[in-house]
Amino acid sequence: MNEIIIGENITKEYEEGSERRTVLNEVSISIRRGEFITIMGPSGCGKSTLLSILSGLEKAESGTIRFTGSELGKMKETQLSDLRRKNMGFVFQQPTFLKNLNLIDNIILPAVKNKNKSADIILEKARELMRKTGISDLEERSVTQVSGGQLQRAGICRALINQPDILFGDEPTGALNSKSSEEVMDIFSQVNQQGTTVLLVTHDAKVAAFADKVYFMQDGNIVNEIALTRSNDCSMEDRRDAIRDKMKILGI
Amino acid sequence: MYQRIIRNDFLKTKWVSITLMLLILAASMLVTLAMMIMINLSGAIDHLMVIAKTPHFLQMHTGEVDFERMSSFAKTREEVDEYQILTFLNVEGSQIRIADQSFLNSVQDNGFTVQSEKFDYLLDLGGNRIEAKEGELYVPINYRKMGVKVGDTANVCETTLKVAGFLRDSQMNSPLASSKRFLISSEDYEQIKASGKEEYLIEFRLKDLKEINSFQAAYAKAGLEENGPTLTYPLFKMMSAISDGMLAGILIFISCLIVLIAFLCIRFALLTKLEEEIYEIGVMKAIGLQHRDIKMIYLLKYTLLSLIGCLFGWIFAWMYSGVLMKDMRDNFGTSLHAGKAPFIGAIASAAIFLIIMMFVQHTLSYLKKISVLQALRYGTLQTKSNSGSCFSLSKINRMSPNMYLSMKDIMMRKKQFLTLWFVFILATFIMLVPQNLSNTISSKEFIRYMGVGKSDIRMDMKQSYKISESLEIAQKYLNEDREVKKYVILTTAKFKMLNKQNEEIPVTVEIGDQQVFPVNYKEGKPPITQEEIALSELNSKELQADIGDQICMKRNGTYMKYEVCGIYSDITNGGKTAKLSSQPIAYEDNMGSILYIKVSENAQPKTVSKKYAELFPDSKVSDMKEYMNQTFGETMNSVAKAALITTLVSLGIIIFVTVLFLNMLIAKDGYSISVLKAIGFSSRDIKIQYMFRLLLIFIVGTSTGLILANTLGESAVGSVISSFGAGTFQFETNLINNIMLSPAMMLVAVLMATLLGTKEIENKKIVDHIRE
Repeated sequence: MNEIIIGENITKEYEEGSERRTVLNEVSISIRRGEFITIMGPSGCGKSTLLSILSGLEKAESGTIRFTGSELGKMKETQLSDLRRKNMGFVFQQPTFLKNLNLIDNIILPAVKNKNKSADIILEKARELMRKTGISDLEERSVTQVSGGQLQRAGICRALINQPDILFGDEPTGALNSKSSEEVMDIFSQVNQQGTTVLLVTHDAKVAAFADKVYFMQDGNIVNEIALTRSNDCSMEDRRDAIRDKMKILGI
Repeated sequence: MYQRIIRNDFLKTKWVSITLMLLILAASMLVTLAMMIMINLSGAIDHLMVIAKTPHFLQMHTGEVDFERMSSFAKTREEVDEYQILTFLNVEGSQIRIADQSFLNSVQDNGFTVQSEKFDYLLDLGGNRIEAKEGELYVPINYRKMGVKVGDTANVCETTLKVAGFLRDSQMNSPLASSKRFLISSEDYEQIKASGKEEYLIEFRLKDLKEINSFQAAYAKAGLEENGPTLTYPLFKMMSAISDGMLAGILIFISCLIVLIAFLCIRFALLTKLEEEIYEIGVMKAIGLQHRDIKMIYLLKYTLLSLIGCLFGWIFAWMYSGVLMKDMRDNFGTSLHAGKAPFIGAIASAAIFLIIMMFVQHTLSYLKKISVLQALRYGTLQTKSNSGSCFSLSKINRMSPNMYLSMKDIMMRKKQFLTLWFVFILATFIMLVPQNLSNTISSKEFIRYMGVGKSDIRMDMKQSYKISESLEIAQKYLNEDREVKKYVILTTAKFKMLNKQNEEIPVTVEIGDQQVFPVNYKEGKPPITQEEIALSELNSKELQADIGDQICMKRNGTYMKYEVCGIYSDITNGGKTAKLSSQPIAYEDNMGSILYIKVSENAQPKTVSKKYAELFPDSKVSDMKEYMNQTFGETMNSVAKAALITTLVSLGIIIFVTVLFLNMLIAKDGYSISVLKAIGFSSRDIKIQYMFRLLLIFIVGTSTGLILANTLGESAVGSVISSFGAGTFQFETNLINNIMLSPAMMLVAVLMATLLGTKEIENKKIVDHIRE
């Protein structure tokens, strides 16, 4: 089986005062190993919720989510934690770090928790990732002493420290300027090229253009999708335009 | 608007608010209880002593009394208001039996008397002077606990009497008083007179109690009858108050610590709240709300919490004071101030309320320090970031990440954890100090503070013409008895010593080999040569004599010089005693002898004491354990009761404060918890981290508390006990209790509280804090 995640008929509701609002309405999606997927849509369409549910951060009211064949809904909390730590990596819009720890400690923390590698190997891996993402000289810095872009790169390093099968990104460039955004997306692209599946949520066509496939969401449903080819004939601008055209048609 | 804000805040921080309120309630309740006990105790004792017309000066005497000389002395002394000589018929315990109860094992001097005419009345439980009719027996109230009931048949020296009621004796009510008076009619007294030994109570009431010291000196100088203990009004009062006074003292001490804990928790809760709401505070300041208005939002909530806590604390204290004051009411009757006690309690509660309000006001002055820019831009009170490179995960090879994160957190948030550390210290202190005190009073070693060495059996031989013969026989038995390991004969005599002002002070002196069962010497050593003397601490203070000083003592009409060789603790007989080495004493000075016996390893003190009681029916033989039990039983019970209360209070504090602390910490740590969950730490891991933190602080806190309870606590208790005459007070600690049982109980409380307090972690959703 080549699918890494299969989500079927996912429904999610939130309580808003005395009423319940449906955020996801029987959404189904499947992601194949090695794919680079982005989910696009306007604010409040349910894209971040879908990502949270597919990654086990949140539970759905109904529907099933299978990760490499195992159903997330039937897993215990400790199993889900293990899965997140060993097989998944997360990058959020706002840098999410423990403020008490310096950058390198934040990065190696999930690996140290895994207990399957020696401290030296973990440190070597962390330093290699920091070098690749251009933050090798920030090891000892506190999270309040670096820029947003640098923090986001550190976030990617932490997400990759346990060599996950899939990397989730919820608006990973949302808080960055355009230069930093481009650099961060390049890193995602490289990671994907090295075999890691990437699933991103964004409302930015520039970011979505890095993907192989883009899903469009509206009012809690996946309303369309577009596959993008990565041939030399097709530039980033062309891919971006194709996405924008599709959005126009869909009225997003 | 304020009403809505407070209501919402209460709902949001339900448990924190309830816990804080309970702490305030406990503090208010204990302070009120202690005040009520103090007021009632002093009022009840005063009331009893007033209606019974307690003598101001009492000289017990065995032997003949020159009534004429005594009467002329009383007449010549202007300060004397009234004077009387009462008889006290000392009857052996074996000759008293009430229903099924034999008084054979009673360590008290049980005596029979008739109602006095002028003063020192024996009163019934309604506070009325009793008039015993023929065949009626009134029993000291203390014996009600033995199971004696009204209507029981009593057999005293082969005379049958009927228990007609219980009596309160204003001078001998306390179990610490060595004698107890039973009241009978003069007809019955005449009938049993031949079966007991008559002693005299020479009693004076003065026009002004302030004259007591000069009167006492004058009595001693006049060379009047004094072959027995001398007791005064203040001593009666002190002996009556000691048991319940100790309970009240412990409660006051504990309530002060609880007030301190309440302050720490309020401060922590307030600062946490301000930190949580710093953004909102910034916004309020930015839109022009005044410091006073913002302060009011927080102040109102704490005013309400403190008001409810103090009010209910007072109500509960009022409701439950009856349970704690039951013994007091039995012994002394109702208080003169019984009506005032709830009001005094209310004043105490109100004082607690005001102190809390002042403290909250002071803590809220922190609001002034918050700048709008800092609040809105950083959303935190701490702008300085210090990730602590010295303790970095990347530099530590072998440490579980859970333990590392816990230790790192403690290092980074020292102030918060210091609060909890301090609470654990105080809780340990609250638990251990009363326990140690209770253990000390109940221990065999406590006898050493009574100016008596540690032995197994005490055999009192009263002064009589037969005493030397009895002593010879006793010595012969003891020398041959294999069940006896060692023994000593100490003779009690009453001499006069000269103080610095050359006034004669009567002192009870114990003569014999002082090295067999040495007492607790604060300084120096026991007297060995005939020129050496050891003084009790209170005596050395009164005579202003120190080690090496010479003091004068009148013996056989001449003054002899002695060198002070030791100072020891003695809380008995008003604490003014002395000890001399073996030397002959004149018959008229002799007040009797006491034999202290230590039994061999295989022998039982109880059986040996029974054997000697049968061999020497004229002596009073008591197993020391039983003696301590009967003399200090009530004090022990009071302190044990207080120790139990404080143990429960301490455990309650640990549970409540730990839950409160975790509740606030977890609310504050919502973001970090979400981050940890997101990167693959389970709720169990995070709970373990909190558990580690709490356990670390607990171990350090209880260890510090344990050390402080045994050093600072010991000195604090020692300074109180020293006022009764024990200068070298040391806790007799039960090691198992101190380092295992009590910490284990506290540990269970912490673990329970942690499990309860960390439950919320499971409900924390990752996305609630991580998403924008």
